[in-house]
Amino acid sequence: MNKSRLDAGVGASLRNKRMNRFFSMTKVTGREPGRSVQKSNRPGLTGVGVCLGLSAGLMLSSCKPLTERMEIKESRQISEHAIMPKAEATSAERFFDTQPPPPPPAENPLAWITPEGWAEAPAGSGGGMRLIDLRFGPNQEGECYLSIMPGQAGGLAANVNRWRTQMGLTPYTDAELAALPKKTFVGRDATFVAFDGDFKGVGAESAATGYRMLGLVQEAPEFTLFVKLTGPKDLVVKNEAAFDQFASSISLKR
Amino acid sequence: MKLYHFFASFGLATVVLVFLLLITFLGTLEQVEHGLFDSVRKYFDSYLITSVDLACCLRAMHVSYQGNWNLPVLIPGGMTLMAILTLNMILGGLIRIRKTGRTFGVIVTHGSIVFMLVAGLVSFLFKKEGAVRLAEGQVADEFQSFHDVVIEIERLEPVSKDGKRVALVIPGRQFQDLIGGKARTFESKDLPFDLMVMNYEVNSAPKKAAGSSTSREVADGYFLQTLKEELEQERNADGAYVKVTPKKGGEAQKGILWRFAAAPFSVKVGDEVYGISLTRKTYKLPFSVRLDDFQREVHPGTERARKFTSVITKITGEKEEKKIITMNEPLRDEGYALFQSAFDVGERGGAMVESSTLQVVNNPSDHWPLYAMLATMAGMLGHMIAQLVRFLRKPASRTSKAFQPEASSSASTTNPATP
Repeated sequence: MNKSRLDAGVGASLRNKRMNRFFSMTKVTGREPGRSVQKSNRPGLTGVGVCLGLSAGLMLSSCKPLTERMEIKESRQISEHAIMPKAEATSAERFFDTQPPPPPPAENPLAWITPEGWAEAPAGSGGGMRLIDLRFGPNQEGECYLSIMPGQAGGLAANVNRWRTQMGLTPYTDAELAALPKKTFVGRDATFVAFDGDFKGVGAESAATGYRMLGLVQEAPEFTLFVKLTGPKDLVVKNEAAFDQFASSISLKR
Repeated sequence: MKLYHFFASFGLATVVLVFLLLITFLGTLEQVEHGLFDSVRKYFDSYLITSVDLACCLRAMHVSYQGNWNLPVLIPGGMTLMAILTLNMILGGLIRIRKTGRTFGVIVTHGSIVFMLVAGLVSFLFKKEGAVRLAEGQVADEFQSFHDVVIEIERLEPVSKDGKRVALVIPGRQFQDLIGGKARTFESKDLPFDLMVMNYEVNSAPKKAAGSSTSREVADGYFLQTLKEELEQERNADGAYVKVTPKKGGEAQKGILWRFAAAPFSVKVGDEVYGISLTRKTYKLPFSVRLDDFQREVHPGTERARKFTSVITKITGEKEEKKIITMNEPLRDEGYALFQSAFDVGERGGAMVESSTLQVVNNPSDHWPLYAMLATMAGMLGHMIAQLVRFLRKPASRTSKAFQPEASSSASTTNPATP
């Protein structure tokens, strides 16, 4: 910008050269501004010439830093204890404008053995509460997962009867609930359920017919653990042993 | 001779002292809004004061005034007044004074005041002050100035074969005037490029240009946003634009220097990588300091600090000495004083590490004001005792006359600073 101003100033000065020559033939000699002045035809600098000269001078002085050069004369030896700075850091790194790295995925506190023929479900395919999420069957239509809820999570009756409703069955009575079998799960007794019916999962528009559900509910003082398996009845029957093997393999990591 | 009498006169001393009182008063008021550093620079480190921010002074005196009122004045600055006072003291208080046993105490007093003024000048010219921040286990043998700004250029790659690192230094006085579009090019035979510095900002922050409308110059997607200057000068984050032009031709590279940047602005010229940083001037210590432990004591049940202590090892060559630096108990050695200044807790390598900041002062005239004060005290005390003895030795009839008006002639002989 200053350079263009310089160029403009010099250019203007050159363009006005003839004009200056003309004005230089007359010299303003009046002392009182606004009063009559004498004119002389002696050559010399006129008021306009002086103004132009001053303007050019000012422009030149204002543009001086652009052309100013200076030699670096000082140096210092850097201490051997000084930290070597990072070479070729990006501007974002230099100005603390980088996004913090994503936190590492939380480590699953549980250990288990995946039964043969079963596989872990693709990430995000299940709900956020699932600590273990597995699939099985020729088309991965069988589903088995473990979830955990804080506290009593509504209680055993509410959860078992919710599952029964999903299978199109009527809720259990208290006596039927009390009569449900128990299995050892993570070192404690857990209630085991097995239902046949038409399964309509959360968010499903229609029920899948001929399904079987296996479930384990363990009520601990601070949380409730659920293991739930669903799938076509034939497939589930074939995998009941695998379900027991999977449930018994689950343990807390040390 | 007239000039000699003028500079040795008591009247001049009075005028200078009145001006010193005035600038101390104005400087104290202005520092409320302008900060200590700027006020000291304007009123005491200057030869001439050309304006007074009266609006600020009024507000500092709790007078409700919200406008701007910058009064143009011509008042001698602190440096001028001190120089005149020193000259006045030497001519009037040391040379012109009647040198008798009676005036010995006064001469000593004047001499010590001159010595104190000289101590101030030596401090102003040669004092180094800054700080060094050490994490536990870290060693340092240099400290950074609080105020002096520099641009440093270091070759980062390839590293030198002997492992020695050297930085070229551009002092702040050579680029701090480059505001409002001004630029200056720096060159060195040791550099394969010329460095143009432009648009220096006293306090600024780099901002991403994307998504913000700015008319400011953008370098690598960022621009420097001007911020209001902080009252505490050392809190300002200064910045500047630079343009690197290779001497052998090639594309120029533009960048931003910012004092708190995590890394220097890197430029690659040929096979070499250079780092350019805007930083504070670095001073070398004559010894190394290793922080072994930082201890923080708080008042029971609170987070209020009771005592900060740095347990350090002073390393001089092969010799190691354990030292303790704590609040009000600095380490004084080899002309340097290290004070406990601050601390912080940060993360390094995944672990929390305590750091201690030590203020470092190197002042050749460190203790001169103390010696001057002791000499002043001794001189004045001696003079007063001599006066008292003379007064008590006088006969009672004459003693009573001592309180008469003619006693003033006696006073004039013992007060040589009153020509």
